Amino acid sequence: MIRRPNSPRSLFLFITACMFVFAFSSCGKTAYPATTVPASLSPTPFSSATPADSGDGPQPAIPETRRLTLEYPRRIKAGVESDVVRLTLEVDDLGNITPTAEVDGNVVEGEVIEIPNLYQTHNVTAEAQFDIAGFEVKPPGTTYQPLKQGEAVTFFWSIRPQDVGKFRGTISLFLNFEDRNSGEQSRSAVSIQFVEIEAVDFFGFSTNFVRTSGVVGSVLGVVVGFPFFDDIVKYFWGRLKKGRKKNSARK
Amino acid sequence: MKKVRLVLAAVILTISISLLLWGYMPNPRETRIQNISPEEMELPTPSSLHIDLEPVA
Repeated sequence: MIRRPNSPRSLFLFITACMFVFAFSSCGKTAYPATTVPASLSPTPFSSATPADSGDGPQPAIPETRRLTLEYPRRIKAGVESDVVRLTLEVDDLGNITPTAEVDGNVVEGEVIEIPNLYQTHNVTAEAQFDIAGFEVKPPGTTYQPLKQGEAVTFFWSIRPQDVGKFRGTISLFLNFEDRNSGEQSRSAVSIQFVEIEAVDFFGFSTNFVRTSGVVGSVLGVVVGFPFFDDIVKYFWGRLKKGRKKNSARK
Repeated sequence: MKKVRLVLAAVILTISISLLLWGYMPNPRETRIQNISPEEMELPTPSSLHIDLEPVA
């Protein structure tokens, strides 16, 4: 058997060998240390601005635990009614203020780490948005309110269904931070909640029709039954009298 | 005749009051309460945006 240096078989083996070498070298490159991330792999920040991070000390933090309360109607009558959705970010009733100073437990250096108050270094704004299809929402779009230490912020939306059915929407709450010195802005998502609201009618009849029918029917019922009211009152009066007589006889 | 009229009045009143109750009944509301710790309201840091990749064995 004669082997030719430029035969198709030799060429195939050469290409295969090159592919193996290339593949192994690529695999070796993905084994990064845990802390280093290539720039192309790191996710883009939530905000357009670069987040503030000095790296010198602890980051400023909000020194309080808050409670987010969402109140909305599960069911609403279609046609005439509107209702209110309320989102409140309030300070915890128990007064849970997180410590603003921490002592290092390991006592390596025994230093006190002071966490700067975020309210003193940044302007904090709460941003809320309610998106739902099939409903007329007022105010539409995004609403903003300044968030101050120890104070609650409340967002209200008035909603009115446009049609009957089940509608799903989202209520989002973000916090916007603006550095008082540099003006640097950043944004952080606090909560995104899904809500489901059902718009109903009365077997195809509108709410207005049902209410009007109720009023008219009640009047009609009273008119039709009016001659018997005298009998009904007399009947109950008689029973009451009988009961009293029985009680006095027993005594 | 008197009995029929009485029954008719009772039926009309029952239906009408039911309609009125449905029409003016307040909407059932749902309340969700969620505690938010300070860690959830802190500034976004570059370290929080990193993916900790682990080397493939």
